Amino acid sequence: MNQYDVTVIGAGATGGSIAWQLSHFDLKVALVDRCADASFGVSKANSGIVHGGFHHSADSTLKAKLELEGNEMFDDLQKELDFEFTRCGILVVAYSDEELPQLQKLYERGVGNNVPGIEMCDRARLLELEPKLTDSAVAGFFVPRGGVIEPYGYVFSLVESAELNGVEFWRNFQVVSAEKEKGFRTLTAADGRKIQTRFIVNAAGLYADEVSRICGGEEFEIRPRKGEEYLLDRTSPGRPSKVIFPVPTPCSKGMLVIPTAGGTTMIGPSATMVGDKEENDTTQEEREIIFEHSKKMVKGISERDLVAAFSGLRPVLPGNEDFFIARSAKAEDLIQAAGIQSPGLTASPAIGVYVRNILAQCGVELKEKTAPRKILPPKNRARELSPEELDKLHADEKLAARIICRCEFISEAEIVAAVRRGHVTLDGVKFRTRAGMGRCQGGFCAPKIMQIISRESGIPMEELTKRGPGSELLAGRLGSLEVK
Amino acid sequence: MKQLNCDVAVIGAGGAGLSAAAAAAAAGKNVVVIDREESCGGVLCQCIHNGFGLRYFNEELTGPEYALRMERCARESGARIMLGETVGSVKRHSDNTLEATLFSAANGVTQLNAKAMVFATGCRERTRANIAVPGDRSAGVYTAGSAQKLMNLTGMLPGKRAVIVGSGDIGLIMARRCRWSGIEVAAVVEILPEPSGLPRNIAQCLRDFDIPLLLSHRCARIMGRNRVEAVEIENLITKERFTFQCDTVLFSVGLIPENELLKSMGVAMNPATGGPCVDGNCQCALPGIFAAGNSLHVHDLVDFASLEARRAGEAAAEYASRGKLPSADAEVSCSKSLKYAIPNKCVPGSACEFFFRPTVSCARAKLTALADGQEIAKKMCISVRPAEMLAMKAEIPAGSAKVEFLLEECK
Amino acid sequence: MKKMICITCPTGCEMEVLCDGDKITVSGNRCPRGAAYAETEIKDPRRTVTAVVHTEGGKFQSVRTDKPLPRPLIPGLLNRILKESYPEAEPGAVILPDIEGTGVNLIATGPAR
Repeated sequence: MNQYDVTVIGAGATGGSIAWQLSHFDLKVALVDRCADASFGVSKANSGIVHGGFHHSADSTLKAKLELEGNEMFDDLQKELDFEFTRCGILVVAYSDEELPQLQKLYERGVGNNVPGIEMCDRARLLELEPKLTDSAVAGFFVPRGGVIEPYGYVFSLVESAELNGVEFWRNFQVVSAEKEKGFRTLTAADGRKIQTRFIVNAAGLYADEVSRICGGEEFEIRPRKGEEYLLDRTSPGRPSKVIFPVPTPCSKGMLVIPTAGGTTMIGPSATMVGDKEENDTTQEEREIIFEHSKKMVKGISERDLVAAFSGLRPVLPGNEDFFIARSAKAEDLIQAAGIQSPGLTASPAIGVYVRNILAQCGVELKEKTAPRKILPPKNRARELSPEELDKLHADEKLAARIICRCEFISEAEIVAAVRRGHVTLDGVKFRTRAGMGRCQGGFCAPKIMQIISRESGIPMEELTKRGPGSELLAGRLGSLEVK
Repeated sequence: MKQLNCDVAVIGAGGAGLSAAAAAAAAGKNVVVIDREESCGGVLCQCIHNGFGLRYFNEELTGPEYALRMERCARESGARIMLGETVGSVKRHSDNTLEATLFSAANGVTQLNAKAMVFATGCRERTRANIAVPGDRSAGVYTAGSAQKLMNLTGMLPGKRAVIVGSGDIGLIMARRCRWSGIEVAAVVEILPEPSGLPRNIAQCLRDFDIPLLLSHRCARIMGRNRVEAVEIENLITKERFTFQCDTVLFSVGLIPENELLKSMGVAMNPATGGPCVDGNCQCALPGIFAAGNSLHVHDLVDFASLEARRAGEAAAEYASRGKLPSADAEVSCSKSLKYAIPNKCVPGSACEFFFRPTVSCARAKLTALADGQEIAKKMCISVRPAEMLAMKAEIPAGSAKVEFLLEECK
Repeated sequence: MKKMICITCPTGCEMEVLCDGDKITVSGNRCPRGAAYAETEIKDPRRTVTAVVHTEGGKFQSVRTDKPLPRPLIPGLLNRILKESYPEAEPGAVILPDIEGTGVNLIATGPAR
């Protein structure tokens, strides 16, 4: 049986960042996830904002402290991990005079948190910063260090880099028991696979309550709050240059207009408490509300440009507005990282460090690896390379110049690289490369991508899935059904 | 980077592009046709059903047969066909020459220079998201054309029991294709009060198999956490809702001309067609740039696309020789009963063929062409429906400034 | 009287067919092919069958019947050809001759892919 010093449960932004941090040390580390790939839980539907540190007070909450620290860590991470990230800046905009006191309060919190470069703006300054704001924009403030990130791209990079540096990633590994024996835990997956570990980090997102219970940790409940998001074509005239926030409401940061790191425009999210942790549907009602709101915020937004609709669930820890990151008081080999909702993505780099330090306090010896760190190969995104660069690349790698996804301009080499890194579901390839994410939504390229996945992974076509077992894409080969 | 020069470059080797290439090569020009796929024909390759070619080849053919015929025409005329090449961008130089950047596994990056270019880039399907169908993001949701590609080019079955949303021809053809592969079809759901596809496809693809066609119904929700389990259908008249159990939903809800390259060049677009504005030579608002086939406007039949493209190819060849074409000074417009008239401009003192899409349905209607208010042509049209294009040839008098088309119902 | 849509060409004429014993009267057709179709449709309905078959090399090839086939024979033909593999054939070449003694052949329509 595989034995580990630390096992991180949950391969989202939180777990991925923790695993990546731990991959720097002489430790045997496992990362396990119940889904077929990293980021497939809470993280994949994240809005992708690198927040500015003004929503919560840094004096009284851990989340604000980690948010501010995390924000500043992204530049170095991007250099090493090559994910899509831009500090495009954030504008918080009041659209009526009634919102001005709340805007002022938020601005003052940002000033109190020492948010770098925060700037109060009158209407004229707002329009100078973002000419696409609607006529109802009254005033706002600007946070230049805020930005956007491709959330799944970020998580995939963390996990791939961690894997490259010795972390073992177990996909489709839903922990169902954690028996303790002689200083080791035996983690058993739903399908019967077993691993042993000395320490467990619970970064299980929506299922952190279940994992805590299985491990004998604190009793708490994670409740899902659904957010629907709507993605507009990269040619949408409604794409602003900065993230546009409204003045927030008590339960949500509000519906935003986001110029995504991938070049599209995203509007949303909504915020609805739901009863089911797998409820990932979209509704006509929320779509209408989101479009109505965002049209009031930014000019040029139209249903005509709608390319995709999806929803995600935030893992809410009721009664605790802060993150719950600590060594368990009930199970000494368990470190909790639960209730990581917004600004969890922004905070995630800092959460990685924070949990690493908790593990050190628990007695895990953190000895830096002596071998040089392995760096991920360049992603060689066809979209970002000049024709000359692509032609040069083609000399060694023919498939670098074969374009498979026409809408997002993704090469076959990019898809092959993704499959070889273990992303063998259609969504895995999509989130890793953006192939199939554009305006035709895979209408043209999905059959080709399925063939490439099958060819590269050896998985027969009829067994390929969208996002893991149960989501099989095909029903069999021609001739396998009786014609009546 | 490789360099390649030609007189006329044709982007897209489908039913339109090959026809344009054949025409331009027959006029003695050095023609290069580019296609991103590894074989000619575009979407024809996956359209294995019959029903093509009656107008162009006077023979009923399947899609692959039509593609082969058209490919032979282009090759025999001397056109060079480059397959597996994706056009990444197109530029126009100050001397009016055009440059396309091609990407392929075989040749890497190639710069293709041409005096004239014909864009025959086809169209894409509207997706579930385009018509905003809410519900789960389940596996088993495909556009009809994607499912067709999976079945006919990769030999895979998308599911076992399908609901087809939209009664366009692709959806109808896929209903039969499903049944002929052993896939059940629970129903075809159409939001409009009348079917969008050809009557003969209603007959041979639905009635032959007793597949219910639910008119004035919409797909209100898709259900299924992992794979599709059911769809919720709403009767738009009674507002009643009910569900169909199924594991597959195929969307056949319209086509969108693919013109991202033309848009990137700043070519004027026609909101009514989704294609560029063109004159009677299929020339766009930028000289030397031509468009034909489904990227110009969505055709009912490939034969019409090929016929239109032949004109584009001939005109592109002429442009490549002379550096200009007669100026199209007459503006074309149409009455409200027509969604659009193509071309948008025409050359006074010459003959021109026009295509229309009606907005109305009626048994008989009179189509009239007026030049500066004077009737110049008329035609009776039978069983007029938005699903079927109308065509008319007219001789445009010299000096005309305005050509207008009227479609009037005959009681 | 029976209403019928002609499937011979894209025009899709809506026809009315009157059967009086052996005598069949067709109206609504715009060309003689409509009348011929209506008569066959009453007596012995047939359809051109199109499909994709497996090739022995593991590829797929599109096929059709070279003439319309009696409708009752279609499921049997499809169940047979979809389960078989055939040698790759040139487009136009016969893949399966004389289906069920009807004189209708199955021919390749495109290259193996």
